[in-house]
Amino acid sequence: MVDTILYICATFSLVVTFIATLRLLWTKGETPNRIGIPAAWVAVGCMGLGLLVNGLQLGSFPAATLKDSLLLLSFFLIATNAVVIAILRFDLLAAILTPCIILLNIMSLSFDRLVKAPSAESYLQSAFAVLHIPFFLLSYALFILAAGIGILYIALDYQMKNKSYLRLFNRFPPLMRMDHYTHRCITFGFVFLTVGIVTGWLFAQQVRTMFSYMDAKVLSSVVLWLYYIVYLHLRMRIGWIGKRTGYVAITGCVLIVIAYVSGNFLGVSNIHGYQ
Amino acid sequence: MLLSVLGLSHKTAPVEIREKFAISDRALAEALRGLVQRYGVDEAVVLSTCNRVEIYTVQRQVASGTRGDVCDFFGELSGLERGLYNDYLYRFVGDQAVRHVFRVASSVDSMIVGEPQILGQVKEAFHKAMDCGTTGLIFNTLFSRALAVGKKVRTETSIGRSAVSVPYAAVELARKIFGTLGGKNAVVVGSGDMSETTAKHLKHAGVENLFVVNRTHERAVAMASQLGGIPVEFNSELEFLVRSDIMISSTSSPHFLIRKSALESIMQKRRNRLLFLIDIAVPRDIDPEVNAIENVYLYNIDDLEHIVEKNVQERRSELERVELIIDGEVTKFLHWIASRDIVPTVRAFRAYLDDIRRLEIERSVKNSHGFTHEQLLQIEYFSRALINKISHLPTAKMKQHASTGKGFSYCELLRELFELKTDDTRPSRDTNETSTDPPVSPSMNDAPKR
Repeated sequence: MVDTILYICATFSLVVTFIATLRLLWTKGETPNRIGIPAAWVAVGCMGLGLLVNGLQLGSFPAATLKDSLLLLSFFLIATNAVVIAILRFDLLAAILTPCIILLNIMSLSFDRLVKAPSAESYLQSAFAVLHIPFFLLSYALFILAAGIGILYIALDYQMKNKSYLRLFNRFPPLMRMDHYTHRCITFGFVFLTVGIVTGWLFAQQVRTMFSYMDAKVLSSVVLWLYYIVYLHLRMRIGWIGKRTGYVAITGCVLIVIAYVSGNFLGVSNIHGYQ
Repeated sequence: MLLSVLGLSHKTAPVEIREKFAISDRALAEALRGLVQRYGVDEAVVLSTCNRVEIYTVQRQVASGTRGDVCDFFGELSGLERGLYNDYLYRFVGDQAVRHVFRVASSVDSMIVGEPQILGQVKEAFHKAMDCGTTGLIFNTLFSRALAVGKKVRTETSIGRSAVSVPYAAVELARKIFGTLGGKNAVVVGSGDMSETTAKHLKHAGVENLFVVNRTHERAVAMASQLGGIPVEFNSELEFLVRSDIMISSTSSPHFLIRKSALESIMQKRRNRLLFLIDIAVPRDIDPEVNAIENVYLYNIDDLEHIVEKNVQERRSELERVELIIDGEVTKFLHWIASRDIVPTVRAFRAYLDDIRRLEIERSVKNSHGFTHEQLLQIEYFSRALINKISHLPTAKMKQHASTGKGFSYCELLRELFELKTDDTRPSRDTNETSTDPPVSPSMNDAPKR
């Protein structure tokens, strides 16, 4: 009950963040997001506390149900969103991300019956599982953030190439800065994804009987890993910067959705599925 | 008390007239002291810029012919006969003067609406007057507020956000592409006023290296020394573009200097780093097709002028919001002035009436010898009610006019009629006085401290 109240508080704070950010974008001045920034941090606090309470109540890492898993993803997205608003000051990006996270939260809170199969509580005691899940979700959050910045990049690039400017043109961050952060998000996301895959593999050694390498999520994660390593290589070797990075990030986000959906819903017989 | 502004600006006087009244930094202190000593003003600030010369004054004891006096000061400055400049002068008094200071600081009254320099110039004029000891409570508060209003307007509206000149628009676009320009390299190809001004703006904005390319090396060297750049020899392979992030081209070449195929190979050498090309030459130096290359952003003179035009319109559309902010701030300031003037005056007026009441009661009691305690209470009650009735209407009138310019006049009149002495009726200038009153609004905290 307490955790649900905290999740609702987090969602409400996100709504406040969204309204404050929209208001800021609407006004033409340069005032800082005085309401949106504290509200974004309040959302992080409420969500984190909610997960903590949930974990204490369950006595294991809170990822046993689809609801918990989505809320954990939501927590990482809320944290990255707070960084976007408070540190990067990409208000335009926050205005796109925040409603998505609000929808994710509402959706998460409505999934209450699906339970991880089989005997999720027992394997969530494993240290490798406890590392594997957050690292994966954190990498997803960073890849989604990279895609968000990528969309903004492509939109600004279009305006500058065609000399046709949107009303919010001045609110777009500089191209080079966006490229830099897209690349950074992908790089850090890639590192966390790698750690997630390694810890997942180590965990698989422990629970060999419950695990299959033909798991949809394992395969999609390997595809995702290969996809990003090819991008990083091309960036380093032939200078894939700018719009291409944006496209890579957006495509990567689509792959994440495929990985998440396929892993959780197409592999019901194995360790990653829900039923 | 009379708060007034007397001056001339780009709106009323041509440059041939304005230049005659310009006051140098060295002469400013002397001018300020002269105003206080010879023209009987209690506080004075002089704002002298290339677009305006304005004299702000406060006179606590209003004598006749104020305008004439300070008008003569303009004659002193220029050495001109009064008839030659009188028509160029404008004057604002009371709330209009307050509004004018706020409009000037907000850059609404500037030649280029929203230009940022004026706020610094107002600040400097105020600080110089403070240093000379010609500001007091009123101007310390008024100019602190004006600076705060100027900042507020720039923060809460987009009046000063976008560029309104071609070189500055180019710099803004460069910022939109690269963010900070620190560590970036720019190259100027060819010569021309516009390209040189743009290069200077870029240098000022933090560009690290400025390469100057010209077909004639001697000219490149001369221009580089003038701009603080590095002369580079022109080569048809455009090698200078490999190291540069921004290029300003303004040659008199009749054909394209940069073509798509050549730039594509340059972009490979640059490993696709972003490149901003500014073509301000007519006929154009850069093939418009290069804009199709990824990470290359080409702007010609028309593109830049179009941006400037759009920005000018945007600034104008913001004027209404700016005036609303100014209206609110003028009201707040006038309330402060009014309460500052009216409260002590009302208090003194009531004390004056109360003194008369007490004296008359004492005299009556002494003469009659026969009042009972109850009768004395009745007299006390009656006399208090009487003075309350008498003082009610003038007090209410003064409060009613507190936020308008009339508030001062009512106070003056009341003090004059009843010879009232209030705490702040100071016969002479009390310089370097700082406000002990509570700030009018939280933004008062932005007031400069010296």
